[in-house]
Amino acid sequence: MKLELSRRDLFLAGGGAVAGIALSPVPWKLLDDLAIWTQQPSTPTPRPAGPLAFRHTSCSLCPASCGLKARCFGAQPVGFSAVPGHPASDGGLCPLGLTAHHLAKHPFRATLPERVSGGKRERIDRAAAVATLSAALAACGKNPKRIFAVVDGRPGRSLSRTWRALATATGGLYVTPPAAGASRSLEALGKRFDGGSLALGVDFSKARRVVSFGTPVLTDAGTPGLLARLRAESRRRPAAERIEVIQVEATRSRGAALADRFVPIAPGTEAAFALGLAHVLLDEKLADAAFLAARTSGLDEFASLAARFAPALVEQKTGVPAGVVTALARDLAASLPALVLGGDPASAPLSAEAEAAIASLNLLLGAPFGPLPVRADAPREADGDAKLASATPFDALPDGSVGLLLLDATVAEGLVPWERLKRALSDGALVVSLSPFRAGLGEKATLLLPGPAPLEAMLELEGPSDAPLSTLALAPALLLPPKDLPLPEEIVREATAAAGLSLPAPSSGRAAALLASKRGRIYDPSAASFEPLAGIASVDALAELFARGACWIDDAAPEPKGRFALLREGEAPRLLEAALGAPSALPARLTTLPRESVSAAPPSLLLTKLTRETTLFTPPAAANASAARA
Amino acid sequence: MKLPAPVSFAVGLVPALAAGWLLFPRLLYRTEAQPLAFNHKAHAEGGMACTDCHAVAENGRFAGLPSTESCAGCHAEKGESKTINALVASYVEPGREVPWLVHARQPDNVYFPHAPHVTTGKLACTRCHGPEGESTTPRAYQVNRLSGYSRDLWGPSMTRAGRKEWQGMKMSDCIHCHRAGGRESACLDCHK
Amino acid sequence: MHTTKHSSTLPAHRYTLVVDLDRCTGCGACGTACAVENNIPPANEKATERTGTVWMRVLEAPASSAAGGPTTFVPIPCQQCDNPPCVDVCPQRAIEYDPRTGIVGQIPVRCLGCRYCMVACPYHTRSFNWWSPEWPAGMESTLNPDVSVRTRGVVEKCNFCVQRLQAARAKASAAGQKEIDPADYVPACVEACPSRALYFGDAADEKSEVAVLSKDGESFRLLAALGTGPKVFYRSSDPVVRERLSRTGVTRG
Repeated sequence: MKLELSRRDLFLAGGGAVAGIALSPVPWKLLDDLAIWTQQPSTPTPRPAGPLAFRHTSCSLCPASCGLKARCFGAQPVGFSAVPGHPASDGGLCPLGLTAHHLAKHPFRATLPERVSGGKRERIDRAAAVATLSAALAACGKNPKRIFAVVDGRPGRSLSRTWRALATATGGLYVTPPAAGASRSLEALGKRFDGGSLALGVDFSKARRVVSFGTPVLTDAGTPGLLARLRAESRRRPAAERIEVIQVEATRSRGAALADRFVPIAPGTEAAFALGLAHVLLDEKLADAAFLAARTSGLDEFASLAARFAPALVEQKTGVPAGVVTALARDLAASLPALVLGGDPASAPLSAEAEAAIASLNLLLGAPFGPLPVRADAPREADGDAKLASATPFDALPDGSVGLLLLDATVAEGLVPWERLKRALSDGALVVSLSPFRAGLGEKATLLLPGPAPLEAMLELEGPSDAPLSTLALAPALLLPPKDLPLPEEIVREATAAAGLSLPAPSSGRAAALLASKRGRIYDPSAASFEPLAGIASVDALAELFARGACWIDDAAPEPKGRFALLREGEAPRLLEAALGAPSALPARLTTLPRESVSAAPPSLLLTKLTRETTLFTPPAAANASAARA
Repeated sequence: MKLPAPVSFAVGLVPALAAGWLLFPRLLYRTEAQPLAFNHKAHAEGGMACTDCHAVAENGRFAGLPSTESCAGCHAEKGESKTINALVASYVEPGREVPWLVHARQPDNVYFPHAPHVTTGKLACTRCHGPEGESTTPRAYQVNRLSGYSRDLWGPSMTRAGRKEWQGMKMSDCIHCHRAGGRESACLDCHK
Repeated sequence: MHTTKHSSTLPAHRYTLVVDLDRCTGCGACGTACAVENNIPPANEKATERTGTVWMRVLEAPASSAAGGPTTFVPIPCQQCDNPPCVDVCPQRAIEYDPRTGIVGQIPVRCLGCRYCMVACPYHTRSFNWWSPEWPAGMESTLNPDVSVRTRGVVEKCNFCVQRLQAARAKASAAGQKEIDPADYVPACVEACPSRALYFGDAADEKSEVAVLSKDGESFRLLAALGTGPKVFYRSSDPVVRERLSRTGVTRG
């Protein structure tokens, strides 16, 4: 019997199959699942890496050292908020700090030593890094044109003593960069005090007028948002209590745009303008006579210098109308306390003479001990300090002299420009960077020994030198460094030993030094309360507090006895020449993101929100291009 | 001989039905094994409540699965059984979390807070999770190859007919219960 | 009394943001904190000011007088209107006005990407995802697990950090309370602002700071004449700024 299959059977079987599928879950279930599938893009699905917890530390990206409250899932921070009442920052945070947890995963992050030879960048292992460095160390000191120099972005740390010891052992230089923001004009003022240097801070809450010669006081310098907040609060008080900011600058910077008054001035004529204000103050007897009599010396000499800067001459030099100079001087005298800040090494550097004129202006206004309070430095370890190399200012680095340059991870390119560093190098110099990033100075180095990224290691953080009181945090790490990361400090120690030099053992005595001082109070962020340091029983108890993100703040220092010199020896002719001569040409650099220039780390990629997807800030590339054109 | 029409039809129908009902679910879902043969029943009989391991924290977040650390609170050392030995050797000693496959895991854009349901609404755990606490071995974890979601979201039955209340956790199931209780809410109450 | 199209009465809670323009320095911390909190990806390499994903945009308004004078920076998140024009035009019902909180919620999974809402929004606060979100390798671990990542082809915007409201509600539930502790619900931008220019709270509570601030003479709303009823208020001590921004708003580019 033969089975006859026809087309009809095929159609019937096909119909049966269709009916069978239709009567099965296939179409309906597939419809549902496919609908979900279309909503399933290849986007990451963030899952908590553990229970929610809040941990405290401090931000290391700029000198403000703001308190950070990290929102963590397990060990992973996913965001930060500021800590209101924190002694270093009082609730301020900037875009860089808010994205600090991204930096460990930055595309420029390096986790293995890298060497550039013959224009090619190659990864090397630990042994090769040690060998390269030890050979360079051994060669140092033999030739005075090929000395060793180490640049330390945050002097005063326990690690800084190692760098000083290394400079001592190799007969080299221990270099410190210029202080950021307004600190430079405070240094200039402190140097005029009897017996050398007096540390001064800024207390904006005690000032009614803030004159800024290009220092970005409202935006970039000091504690984020602090002066803007104080000024806005004062606007709702009687007119006599209002804080006003006067920005004197050659360009309408963001700080100038936000200031209550903007005085555009010809570039490089700041000294003449400051002396013009001094002239009006002295000529109209508006200066703080009591302060000048009790606390300053050399008034007559200064007065005769200032006498040459009548408003009409100042107008001619600076382009600021004489009436504006006179009115500003009168307003300052009528609205005491007032303070004057000058320059910013990162964005608007001033000449030493301009800083000197600004310091004198502060003295005429009686600013020291009022809005410019005296403060003591945070306690440091002092054992054997006398035997260590003292600091060489960055500006004093001799040209063509350095054969081996070591750049600590804390060095910011904004304060230590590569163009200037390059001048100091001799031919074929080895440039070693401990930056964890293949960016900024880390990219320029010929030997990169990447260390822990921000938040991956404990850091000693002193607050900004323009804060009214010293602060110190031994900021705990929030993240673990990559497991096989060779620690650069260990490589340097190994290389030093291999070169036949000796270094003292690493110390971690900062907490002990602080405890021994019995000064100040310590802020516990989890309890939001202060405790006197004298009440802390042991170094361990103090270290534990710091490990929880605590921050120490000093007591107000007593007013010292002594006088400020209105003019230092031999200063008058230089000042006169600088103010009357051709405008000094200092390279003004463009700042891009807030605080980017004083940060040693590249910004998180997320900050493209501010530079590319909005026009709030100039994108770094465009800024570089326009700087190159200029 | 010619085949009768119903037979020809059935030749197509029967394999299609078989493929649709028997083969399709096997193709659609991939079965994965749990890392450890956890016995809920033994723990429950030992006097433990669900919330001893699956608790709502003070901040209102549901911890979900217990951490290895909390397992180690009782099972710090090897010895009692093969599973405990495996737990200690693979997770407690190296300090790793157990990579459990979570039957009830919702899609990423779903926000399901336990606190309002359990603490405020006083719903029993079994209302949504079924008699999970009586299981002696973990159920096989089945994952939908297309959506990547756990099979528990749809439920064990392909037609969803005749399923118990805890079998299935689709949005329509959430809405059904919320509507019945007059608790209709905004999209962003349950989505993130 | 002011009522809305979408509910017959005012919502029980009226979550409100007040921006003090006198304090804003345009530092961008608000937008950065927002992007961190809400898992907004870094800019695509082709992204521009017009195609980027920004929920909190800070624009610079021109100086208030011809003589110069201080610049005003204006942070502009979704204005959380009581009469939101975007809700009416959405063919997918992917935007929802929550009558209990006043929050205009965006549901990206439902969005079909037609961008009618972007046309309808007079404040230009909505962003379309022109590209798939991408993070550098490893950076995904820093994402916030409380917010889901949106895909290419959908519109998104500020939801007043509604995930923080969800968390605050869960916390209240766990403690057996009906109402949240206001301190538990603060959007990321408000928490981040270093000069404390942003105030947030429930304006339904007459005594709350935002209720008092939003009613005083220095407060105004952008493009007030449109009747959209934003729950984002701005304050300035400068009458010129108040008059101009409430009349014409501020535009980019």
